[in-house]
Amino acid sequence: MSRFRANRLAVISLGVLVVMVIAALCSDLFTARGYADQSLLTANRAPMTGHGVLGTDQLGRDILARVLFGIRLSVAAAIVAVAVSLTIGVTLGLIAGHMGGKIDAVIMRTVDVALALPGLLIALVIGLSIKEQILNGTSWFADGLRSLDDLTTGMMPVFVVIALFYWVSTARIVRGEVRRIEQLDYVRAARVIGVPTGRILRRHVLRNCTGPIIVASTLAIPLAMVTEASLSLVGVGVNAPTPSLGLMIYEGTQQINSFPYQTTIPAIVFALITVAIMFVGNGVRDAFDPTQSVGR
Amino acid sequence: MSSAVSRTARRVGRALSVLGAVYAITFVFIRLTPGNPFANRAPRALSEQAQREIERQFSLDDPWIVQFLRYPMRALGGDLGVSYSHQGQAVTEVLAARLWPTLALVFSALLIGLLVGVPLGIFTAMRRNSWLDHTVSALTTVGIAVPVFVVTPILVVTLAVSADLLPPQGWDGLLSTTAIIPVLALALEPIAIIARFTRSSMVEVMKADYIRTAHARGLRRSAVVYRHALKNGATPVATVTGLEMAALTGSVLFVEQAYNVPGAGREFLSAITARDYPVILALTLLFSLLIVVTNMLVDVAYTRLDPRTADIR
Repeated sequence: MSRFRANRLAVISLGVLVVMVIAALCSDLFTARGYADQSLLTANRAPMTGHGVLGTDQLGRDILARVLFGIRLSVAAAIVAVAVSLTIGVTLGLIAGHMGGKIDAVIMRTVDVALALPGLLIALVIGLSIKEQILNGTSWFADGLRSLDDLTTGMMPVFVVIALFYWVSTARIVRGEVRRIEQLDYVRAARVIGVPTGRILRRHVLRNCTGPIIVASTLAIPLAMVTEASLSLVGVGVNAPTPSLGLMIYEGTQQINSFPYQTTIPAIVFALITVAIMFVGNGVRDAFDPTQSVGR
Repeated sequence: MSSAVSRTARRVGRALSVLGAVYAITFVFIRLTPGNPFANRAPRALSEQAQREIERQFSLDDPWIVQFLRYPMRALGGDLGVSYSHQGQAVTEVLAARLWPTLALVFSALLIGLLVGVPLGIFTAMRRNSWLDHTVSALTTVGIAVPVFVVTPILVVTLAVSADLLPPQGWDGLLSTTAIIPVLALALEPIAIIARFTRSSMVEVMKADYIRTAHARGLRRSAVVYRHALKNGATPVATVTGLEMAALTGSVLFVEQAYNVPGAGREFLSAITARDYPVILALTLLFSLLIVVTNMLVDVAYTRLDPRTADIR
């Protein structure tokens, strides 16, 4: 912990993230108007001209309110990605690393193929398929998806894609760590004195993978945000008028010559979040890695 | 000789398994997708008979297993089916003109990534923990974190809208001013990743005993770095080059979309919006082929760089 605190850039980034997330969750306190309230009379007003701190978009909607709500969607995508990485990813990695043999071969072969896929294209195809299920499906499966979709303000396609992909790199990293740690003397010693396997895995193996697991999960966050933004940008993510940062960037580029701020504001907010997460991730990695020097 | 043959066989097998997985995933998800892509295009509701006529025309009335096996056979013969959204045009016709801008963008971005990233990585590895190293490390973190659909509009606003140096959108071929912004936007991530991998790999290699020996023999520093260290340090760089190609197939979609380049990437996004399944399927496979071929080239480069891997791989 003190090693992390010594990393100034990481601490500042963590502060920025906390402030942004709190602002997004309490967005109603800062904005007079809702994110979907239109007003064509005050459309395309620049920031700081009396129509909201960050101005208004082409339909006169308050950009601050939309950006803050967009951050909530990014956070939701990030939470699902981390949850998938921690549950499915860690479990499969543990199984593959510990069992070895055929099970290991099957899991790792799947991981290898998944890493060689054109990820974004497959994600868009699957997102499209889920979106169509929600829009036009008639089966019980589609009905279930639809009610979940209503509950999550239209984020089901995004969540399904994340659930299908975000276990892969964690599983690979955990498997490697498990195989390495199980060869160490203290694990062998524990086995010799008859500690049950489940207890060895929990107390000795998994606990020593904490660093790499945290790093892998941190790295999944910006990628999940990009996935959410990409799907929404193409229309297979959240539905209008729900504001996703990706959708806002895309809508802004339609009139980038006349009103560039409509693109640059959500773009800068998005970049700020992903960069801050990367710096926090680097800080965590260095804190867990004794070979790295402290204080950068 | 036989090991070379079996190595090639293994490479081809791995490539085919990736292509097969891509095809199966895409085919299954498209088949499972409900909704009728034709009904949305028709001016009024389609009659039962008209619907069946269209399905027959696109050979959609066969059992799915027939369709599943028929597509790869026809694809090998150069027939990728008929597009739904481009009226009556064959998919090959739709894609023929659009592939070149995409290939030009992707390969020049990868080339720039290597030409800038590798020297940058060596340079920072040699000056480890200097302020320059720390600055470059912070910059590469930013380069990795900021996605291409954020970079492109920011480049357009700064270089084209505010400064009026470059055109704000369009495509006149790779050797024109219109190529600068899209190539730059695409190349930033490969530069950052390749620089980072080269740096850490070189730092590792420079600790090795044979480097100390080389120094002790009184070899010039440049000879040690380029003749001894780089050869061993380049292997992880080859790996990341293959992974970068996979990342670029995603990035190129948004760069083409944002910069209005009439390429295969923009076509894929419009095909998603238009539910043009034959184009979606064909493009997913073509982009996978690009990744697979790059990975095979990387694999060959690997065994050249590091003959030890020839037997185990």
